[in-house]
Amino acid sequence: MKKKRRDIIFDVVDREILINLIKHEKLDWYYLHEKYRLSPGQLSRSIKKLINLKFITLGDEFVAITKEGLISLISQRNKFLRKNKDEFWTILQEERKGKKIKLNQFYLPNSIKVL
Amino acid sequence: MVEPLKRASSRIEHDTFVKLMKVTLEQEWLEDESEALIDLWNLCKFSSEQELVYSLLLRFKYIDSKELKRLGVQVANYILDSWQLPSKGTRIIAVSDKRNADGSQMFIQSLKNKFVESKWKEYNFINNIGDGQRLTRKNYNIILLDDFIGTGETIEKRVNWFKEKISGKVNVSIRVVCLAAMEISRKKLDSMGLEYYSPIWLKRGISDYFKGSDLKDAIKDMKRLESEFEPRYNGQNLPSFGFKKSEALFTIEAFNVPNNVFPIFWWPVLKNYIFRKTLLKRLR
Repeated sequence: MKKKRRDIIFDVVDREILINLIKHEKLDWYYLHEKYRLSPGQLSRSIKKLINLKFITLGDEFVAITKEGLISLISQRNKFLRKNKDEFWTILQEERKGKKIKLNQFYLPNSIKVL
Repeated sequence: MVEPLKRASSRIEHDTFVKLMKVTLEQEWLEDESEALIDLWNLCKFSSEQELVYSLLLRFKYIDSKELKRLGVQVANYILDSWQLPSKGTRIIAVSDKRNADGSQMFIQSLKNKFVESKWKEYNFINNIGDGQRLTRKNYNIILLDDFIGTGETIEKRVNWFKEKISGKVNVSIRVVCLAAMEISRKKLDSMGLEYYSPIWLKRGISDYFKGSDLKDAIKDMKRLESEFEPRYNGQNLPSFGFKKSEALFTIEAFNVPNNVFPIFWWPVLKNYIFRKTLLKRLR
């Protein structure tokens, strides 16, 4: 029998905190308030949730990402970072991007790379 | 589709935000009340007033549904194990004396399922004192129940009224239980000469916490804050420092906040009848 998936649901505040923590690893509470105008209530709720999930730790006026949180986020970054699950194809990692072609320019895939 | 990010209407200055974050992290119930919290903070004219509000909020006792359940079990166990009262001949009576819903009725409703395993029945629980006195028979054990005892005045009145009404019925014992009580009510409870139980005992938020010049300053700051309010609303006077100056820092989730609590947390009107967002709600 196929195992049922148990994905964690992240709301928009959780996601903004996590995205910023991937980039910076450690963030002041006030940075998150200034950047997204999050209220103390919004921020407190998300911080507690992410601490319970062991994604982050709480410091004096800052939050930091845990090692296991970072690994988890990077390995499932498509799920965490995409804003709409119907548009996951719009997110493309840098290393997969090729040279941009002009409009109406013919394109021949490199068969060696494709295979 | 992911929901859009709700943003606060304005940015808060750094030190204020850090303080409000700290108190919100400590007091989970504030998470849904950020706007009211900011309004209260902005009502302060001096930093000492903000320090006082911060200190009172950190010491606030907020009973959520989980804790209410735990306290209900504690009260039930006390009745069953310490007082060893049997279901036969025992009645728990909410002290509500009006037709309006009140905290004692909410508490008795949440309490009764804690007696299932002890085989108590629904008739053991009566949701108002009027019916309670009518249904009292000789040799009964009566437990008068309220959600919160502040100064002890209300419970004293109800006990005296009840005693008078059942004076013709012999050998009726009366006890009192509540979810929380203030230390200042102990004298009154003791003078009534009956057994009572409360799982929580609370000190006054200012008078039992600050000393010397700090106490004087805190009283001055609270008076200044209260001067921002309309002193009369809906036929009621502003109970300065809480009803009879009880200075309570207590409420139960989804219950009407007791008027013993400092009005800065619930009084709904500023001077000239300007309505304000309050951290706690009270309908009267």
